[in-house]
Amino acid sequence: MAARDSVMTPIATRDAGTGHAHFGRLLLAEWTKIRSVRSTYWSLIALIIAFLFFSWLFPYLTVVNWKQASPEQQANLYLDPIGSITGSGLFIGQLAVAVLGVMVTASEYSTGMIRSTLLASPHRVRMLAAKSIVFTLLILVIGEVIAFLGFFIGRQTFKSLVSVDLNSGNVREVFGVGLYLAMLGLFALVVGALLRHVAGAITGIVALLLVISNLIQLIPGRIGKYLYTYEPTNAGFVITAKRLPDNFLISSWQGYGVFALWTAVLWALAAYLLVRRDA
Amino acid sequence: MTATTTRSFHMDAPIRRITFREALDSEFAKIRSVRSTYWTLLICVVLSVGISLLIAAVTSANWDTLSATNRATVDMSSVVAGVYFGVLVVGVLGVLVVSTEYGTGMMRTSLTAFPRRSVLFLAKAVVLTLVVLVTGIIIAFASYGVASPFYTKHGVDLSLSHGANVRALLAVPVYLALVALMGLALGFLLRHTAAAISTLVGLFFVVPIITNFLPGTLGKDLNKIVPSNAGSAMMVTHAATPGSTPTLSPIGGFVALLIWTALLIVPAFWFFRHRDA
Amino acid sequence: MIQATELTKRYGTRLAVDHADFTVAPGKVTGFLGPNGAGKSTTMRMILGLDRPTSGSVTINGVPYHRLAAPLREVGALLDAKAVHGGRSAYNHLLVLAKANGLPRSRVDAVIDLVGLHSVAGKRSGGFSLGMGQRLGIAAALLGDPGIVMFDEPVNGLDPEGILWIRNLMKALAAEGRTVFVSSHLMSEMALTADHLVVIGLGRILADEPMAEFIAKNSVSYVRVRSPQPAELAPKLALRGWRVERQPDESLHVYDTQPAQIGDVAGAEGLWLHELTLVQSSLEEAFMRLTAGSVEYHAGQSDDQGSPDGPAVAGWGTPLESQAPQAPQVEERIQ
Repeated sequence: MAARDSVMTPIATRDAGTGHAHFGRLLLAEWTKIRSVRSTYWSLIALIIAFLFFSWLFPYLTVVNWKQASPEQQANLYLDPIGSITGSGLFIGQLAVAVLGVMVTASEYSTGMIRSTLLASPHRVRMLAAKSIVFTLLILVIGEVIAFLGFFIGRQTFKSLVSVDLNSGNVREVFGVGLYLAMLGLFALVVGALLRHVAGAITGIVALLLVISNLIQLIPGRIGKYLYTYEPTNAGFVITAKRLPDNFLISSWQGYGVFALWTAVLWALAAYLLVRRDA
Repeated sequence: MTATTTRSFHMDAPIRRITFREALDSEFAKIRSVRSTYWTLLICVVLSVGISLLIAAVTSANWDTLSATNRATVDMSSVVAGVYFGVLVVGVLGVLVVSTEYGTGMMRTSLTAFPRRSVLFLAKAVVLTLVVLVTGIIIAFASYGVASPFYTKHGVDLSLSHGANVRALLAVPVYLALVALMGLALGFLLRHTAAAISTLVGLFFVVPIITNFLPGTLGKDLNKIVPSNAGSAMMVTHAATPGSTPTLSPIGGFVALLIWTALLIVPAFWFFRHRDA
Repeated sequence: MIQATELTKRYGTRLAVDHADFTVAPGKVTGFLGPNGAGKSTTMRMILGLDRPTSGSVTINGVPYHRLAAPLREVGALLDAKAVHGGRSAYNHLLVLAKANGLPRSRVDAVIDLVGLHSVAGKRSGGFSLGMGQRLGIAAALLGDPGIVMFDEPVNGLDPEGILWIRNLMKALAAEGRTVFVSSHLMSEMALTADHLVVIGLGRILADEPMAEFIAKNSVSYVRVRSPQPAELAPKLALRGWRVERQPDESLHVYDTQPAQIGDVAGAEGLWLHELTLVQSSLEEAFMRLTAGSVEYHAGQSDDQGSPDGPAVAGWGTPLESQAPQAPQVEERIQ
């Protein structure tokens, strides 16, 4: 029986001494899981199409309507051309990443799959780590690829108005797209693991991204600025922009660090609860 | 335990034909026996009323800095501004009412008990509508209770003796119910919680952004009729001010939202009747 | 009474159910037997109006399912024990179904008592074990005291106690004059419960006959004889006109006779016997032969469309081995 188990489960009992090999198999198992569900393909296709389409659409519309644009809008373009190219696609594409991140963890609970998963790899924290690594890397790779593709599409479209060249000063903004999406994906994955409910977790993340992040701007005074700056997705988003929002208190990289810190704290909480709670 | 106990088990009552009434009873029993209903409704009320209060407090605090044109736009729609976010939550409830039945396989059990699909569909829609209407009325009047003092002290007329103000308040439950029905329809069409919620979010929060980008009058016209803007227009009582974003009239918003709902409900109904469960 | 006429369901190019004609009569347990993927569940879903037949029809007491006045009063079905909203308690799940057919609350209590779920009736059904879920499904099926009950693979995954309970329940329901229609992919299970058998393979009805007839037609019985002197015994038995086969392990398989007669012959000849067993050769084998035929037939048919549908054969072999790993050939002694 033991020999049979070792064939079926990612952790083979006979390899008990080699932790590295174990984790490799766990990664492989999680990769297989992510790769074999339709929602992955749907979400990623939505992300890629939305991002690339808007990387073209926004610059195109800007060029077409240039004469009617207000001086303020025109100034905006010159101040932050890369943000103008990637911003709109990112705003929409991030929703697909958030939904997918939630699905990676929360859907295992709704289908009961989590019980088989935990049976297969009883070391729950390592299971969560494997999921996190596989998913974050996947989104990072796709995010960087579309970031540069989108950038080149947008740059071509903008050519008649402004020429944007990559240099050490602005390449961070393009790389930032993949960095932000990857961290957001991980953040959503953790929220899914915490809430264990697909609808609840998606609604929560969407509310955070679209509602709460903007709404806290309304709170007046210094408290409002703090809340706005340290709200996780606002903090993370600035890695993709040249100019910081007026009420933003820290630098781009610091902002990304805040987002990462939020994610890490929630990750630790999710890991703790995963061990403590019954599946 | 022994199987022979089925002997003592017979029903003598004559068989009565099942009607809309039974479907309604059953659907009502369904919606009140799962926790997600209470969660979504509670969150919807707290979010809507809370954000309405927040916006009122902030607007009131900054009243002196508001321009005359901005002050002119403050009306009953400002009092219930939080509903803009509450719709997302009732939409999710509408999705869940259907998608969890498909996700768990309960839909097959439901249809075995009540195979007349059009009646079942109608019962589901009616129960959801009633539950959301009641919640919407609570949201409307709770928002009015907590938020209106912040505006009336600056002289905004929110008296309920004005028909327009009452109409705007009553538009809240109607708006919420229609969005819940859109969620229900998406649940029937897509049969998948995440897919249906994503589509709903896209319709309410992404499509308006896209239409904003579109050039010329086409973009402006489309932007007026997207569900979120059509719904918001239902609650407006002030006259359009020059320079502000064009919106539909309250009735126009209602009609636009009805059409959106119909565009989703009609195919959902057709597919539910004709697809294998 | 369930009556299927030319019932057909096509998914794309695959015929899941192929012009099925059969009748399920009251007062007995009718087994619906076929390998995994043979079309059993599809047929049951069509009976319940969940799936629409591509052509043909199926009626319950003469009318299509969706025309029944109060379906739960006439048909109770357990298709999938997991087809329950996990967030709803067992009691509320049953209440939802009872209300859909205008049944009083007392019925919910009655079926909960019957299946022995009272201790967990208030708990969310998402946490139920397979056995408890199965009991909840059966409670739902019996809610309206229906004249027809349908169970799809009811013993799958149950413990021995649960299996016994369901077998007895089905027999009792049939004894009360109800129509009991139960599907299974295990011939051995059917042999224990069913009075009548409908066999389906790749969507086609391969047999529709009383169990006894099926056994008589398809089973081969023989007597296994072990003797230290097989070389001397075999010709003596053959002389009586019985067919004798010598096995590699030196045992003899003797056909067309009974153990007692063989014993008499051995005694008269003064030969030793170490074993004398009547062996009913496996009905599983008979069933496999039957369905294997349909697989070959199908494969021949679909040559021009590409590769034949394999899973019915492969899917069939696996459960048999896992059911009886030490004896690939299931044997039943008859006293």
